[in-house]
Amino acid sequence: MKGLAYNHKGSMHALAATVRSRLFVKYAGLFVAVVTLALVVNGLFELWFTYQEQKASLIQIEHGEAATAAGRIEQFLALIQGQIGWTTQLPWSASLEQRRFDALRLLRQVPAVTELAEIDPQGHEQLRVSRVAMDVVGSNIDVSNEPAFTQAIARGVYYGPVYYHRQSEPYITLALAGTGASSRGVSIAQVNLTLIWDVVSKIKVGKSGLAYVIDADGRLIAHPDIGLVLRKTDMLRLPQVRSARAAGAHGATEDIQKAENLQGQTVLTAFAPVANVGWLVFVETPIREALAPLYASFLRTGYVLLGALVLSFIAGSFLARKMVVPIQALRAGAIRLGAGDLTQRIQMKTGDELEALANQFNHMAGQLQESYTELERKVEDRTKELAQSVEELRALGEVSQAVNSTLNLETVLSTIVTKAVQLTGTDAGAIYDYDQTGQEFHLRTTYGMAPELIDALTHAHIGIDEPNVAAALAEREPIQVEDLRNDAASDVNEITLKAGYRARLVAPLFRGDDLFGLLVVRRRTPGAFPKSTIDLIKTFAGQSVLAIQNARLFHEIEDKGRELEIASQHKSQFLANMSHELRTPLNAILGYSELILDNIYGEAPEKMRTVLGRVQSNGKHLLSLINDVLDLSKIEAGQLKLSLNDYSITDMIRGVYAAVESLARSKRLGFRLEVQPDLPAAHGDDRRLTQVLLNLVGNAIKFTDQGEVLIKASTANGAYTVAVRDSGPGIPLSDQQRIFEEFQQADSSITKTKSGTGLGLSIAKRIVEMHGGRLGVESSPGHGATFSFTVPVTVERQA
Amino acid sequence: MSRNIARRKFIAAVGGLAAAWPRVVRAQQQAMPVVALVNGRSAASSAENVAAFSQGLKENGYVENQNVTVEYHWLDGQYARLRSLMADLVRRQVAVIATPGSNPAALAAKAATETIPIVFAVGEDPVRLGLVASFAQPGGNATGVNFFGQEVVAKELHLLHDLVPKAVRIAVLANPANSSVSEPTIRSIQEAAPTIGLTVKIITAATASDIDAAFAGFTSDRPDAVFVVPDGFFSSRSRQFATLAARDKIPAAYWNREFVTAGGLMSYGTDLADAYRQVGAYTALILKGRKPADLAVIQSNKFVFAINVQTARALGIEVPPDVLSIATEVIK
Repeated sequence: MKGLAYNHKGSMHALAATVRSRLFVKYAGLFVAVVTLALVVNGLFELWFTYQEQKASLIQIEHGEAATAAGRIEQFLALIQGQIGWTTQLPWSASLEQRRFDALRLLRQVPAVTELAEIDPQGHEQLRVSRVAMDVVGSNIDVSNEPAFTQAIARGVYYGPVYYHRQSEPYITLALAGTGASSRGVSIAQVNLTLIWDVVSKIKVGKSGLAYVIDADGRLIAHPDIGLVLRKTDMLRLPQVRSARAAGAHGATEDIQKAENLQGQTVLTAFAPVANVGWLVFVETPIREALAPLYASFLRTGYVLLGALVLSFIAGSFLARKMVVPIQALRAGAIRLGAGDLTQRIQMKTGDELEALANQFNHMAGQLQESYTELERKVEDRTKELAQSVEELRALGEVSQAVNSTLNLETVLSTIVTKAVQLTGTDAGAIYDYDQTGQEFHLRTTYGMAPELIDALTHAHIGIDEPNVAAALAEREPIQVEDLRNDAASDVNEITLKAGYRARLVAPLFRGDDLFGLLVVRRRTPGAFPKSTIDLIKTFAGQSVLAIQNARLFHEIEDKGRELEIASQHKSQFLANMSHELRTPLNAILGYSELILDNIYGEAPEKMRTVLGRVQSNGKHLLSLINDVLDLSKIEAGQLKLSLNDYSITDMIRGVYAAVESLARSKRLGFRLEVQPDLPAAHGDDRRLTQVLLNLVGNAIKFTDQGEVLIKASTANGAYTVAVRDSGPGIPLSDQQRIFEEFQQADSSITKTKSGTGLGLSIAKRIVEMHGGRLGVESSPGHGATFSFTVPVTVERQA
Repeated sequence: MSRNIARRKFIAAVGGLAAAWPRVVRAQQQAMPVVALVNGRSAASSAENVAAFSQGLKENGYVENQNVTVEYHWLDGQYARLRSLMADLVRRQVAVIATPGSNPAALAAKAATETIPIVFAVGEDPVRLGLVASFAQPGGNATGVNFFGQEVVAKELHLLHDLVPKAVRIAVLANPANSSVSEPTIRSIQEAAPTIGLTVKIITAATASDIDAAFAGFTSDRPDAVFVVPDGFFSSRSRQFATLAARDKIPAAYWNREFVTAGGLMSYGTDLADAYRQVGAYTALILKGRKPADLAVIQSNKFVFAINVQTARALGIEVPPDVLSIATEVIK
């Protein structure tokens, strides 16, 4: 137990080392993980929202910029339109020279207009001023069919499609009709749109966001990269432009906010339409710019995460230490307690639940210690009791053994008294016999009693009216006297007290209603006998009764057996003698009657011969009966001895067959032999076995009226079996055992007709059994019967 | 940039990709690209144009001596030096040859190389000059700006006529060394003059003394006004022109406002400084990796009509109010 505890302790220490770090890591790790998770989730959310907000705000800014640009372009066009408007206010009555300078002034004021033509109401060009070419006055060229003129006349204002000067400079034709009665006519201005470039190129969204303008046909007319404009880049291949053209007409917002630009960069884009001309202003910003704050945020999150990791690691370690160290102390204490060191107390002054836990541990240890002490005490008691019980059991076992192993009643009773006194812790004991005729008890066996006391008690009269005895007999329970001095005075009490005994326990020995005697134990000290003693005495009393009864029964049986044996011997002797004595005169009767029939005494008359025939047959029957009885009595008297010699089984069977064949033939029965050809040479009493077979075959022929009788012989396992089967009436199962008993036949009515002594099978059975074999029958009514015997091939000794 | 580096730092710290660092440093240590600016003018007269060129570079992210080196080659009228200069530039494989406002330089560059990018600013049709295949798709190694030069001389002549209606006999002064400009310009003037009742006489000058000689010749055959044909070298002699014209009390018309600033009577033409700016911007784009073949030729469209009222008064010319009202720049 101690060794085991130490081993346990050792493995606990090994375990503690690994567990310690794990708990520490778990605590610290959990702390770090929680902090990290919170920060990561927070960071991700922040990143996501930052991205969404950034994107939304960028789109909003872009939209604002686009709208502003569109507004400025509108303003630009409106300004030009307004300026040109002035030229249409002039009445045609004014001099053309005047109109020319007005036009030149217009050119000066409006740098975008590179050429201005004034058409009279009839559609004839009256004036053309240009920044490049020389002014033309009064050319009268007919332009009345030009769309600029017709449309301006029809609608008041005309914006032509964007066209390119020298394939590269975007221009638009703007025509305006005069409204006054005297100033009807149309001013047609060629407006250079590259000035819009200034507007567009000044738009900066973020660091690299830019704006561009497309015309109604989807061609680029303004872009910070002028080259793209000059190359008349077709913007319709961009999906956002197509989508915007479809939506822009209705002033709808952007369908596509994220797309690729001409350079294949992914951009955030927004647009705004320019009124009147159907142009669209786009503003785009590379998506990576929208993501730039995200990188900052990512970086920030990273730093925070790193810092938080370090902090949380430190804090986690600190907390884990705070937690683990007391737990460690608790563990150490618990391990020592677990190892059995219950005097151990855990010292902990953390002032929290852990201290409470430690106190709880200490309390538990105290309780355990107490319990252990109590338990040890109890175990000691129980062990003592157990030892006592074992002692009792052993004593009882000895008593039982004595009762079973010896029929010497004296020995048994002595053992009982001895053990009873020893086990009950009393000082002396005795068993009394009950004398039924004298109605008194006689001392039979004693233990621990002085010879004087024995002598005194032997001569004392102890009747059934003795006070304690009478009570015990009445209640059939042990009666105790705690102090003989206080008991009613009697001879026995007197004697007992004198011998120095103070207390007594008397148990009656009853078997049913039969009283056998008393079992008494005495003690020199007064006082009550404990219940266990009383129970024990009861048990011993029971054993005593059994022993006495067994002894009596045994003696009775022994006497009866002896008488029976003598009677049986007398009977057998008588039968043997009688048979012999009967046979002698009968042989004489048969012999003389045969002499008469042989006409030794003269010719006998036929009538006499008939009578003599009957005498002969009845005599022979009587003789065989006597022979059988003789055999049987010899067997029973143990006088029949087998004469063992070598014989042939086959010859034996054939002999019997030959002997009874005529009998079968006379009854017209089939009679067959089925003999295994290689039956071995046998050793035994062939004469007696022939008698057995003859009996069986004879019975078969006798009880069979039609059909056949079959003799079968075979050998196996060092024995041979001869079976006789007939087709007779068969024997009911209930009779099959009976027929082997003396003077019994299956059917008494049959006996009358078939005759027979009823001893044949009995004798046959005995003979077979003397050979160490068996004789049996198998039959059922209506299906014939098969009698068979099995005998060892070689019989060396009579069984 | 700092944010970028910070990000890299973070990535390096987190992922252990410290190798990202040297690459940044290496990029900054790389040799700066060299841009050669070639012009027929003198350095002294070109401060404004150089400033415009630098402005253009800056618009597209290049700053002189920070991430680009600009070599200025001022020919000061010595166009003959162009051949050897170009050969030298080609041998040294400069990054870009810029030739703003100089047809000879542009043509010489085009003749010298088919690989080094050329950014020009020419007053004539660059297609006709053989510099580009088309305005929209230059196709070769040259692109640039087309400012209106020869095309606007008729307009300039008309304005001179508006300003000095009495002047009928016009002396046209041209630099024969810059024939790609002077020849078509003279043709345009000769076509336009009769339509407004003017007669022209062509006088040539290729050097400063030629200019002096030309004005000296006016004493015997005095014209009503002088019309100076655009030329880079002439540009750098603006003060000489102004002095001589004032001395001889002859109204003179130029193509560039710098003449008017220097004391010339009037000028009409595109803003040359603006063309320099645009050349600078294109040069920067090419430094960034764009191909000249894909950069469309820009048409300069900023026209300046400048009048020096002081000069007019000294010449006894009363500027008509209508003319004054259409001038973009009036120097008083």
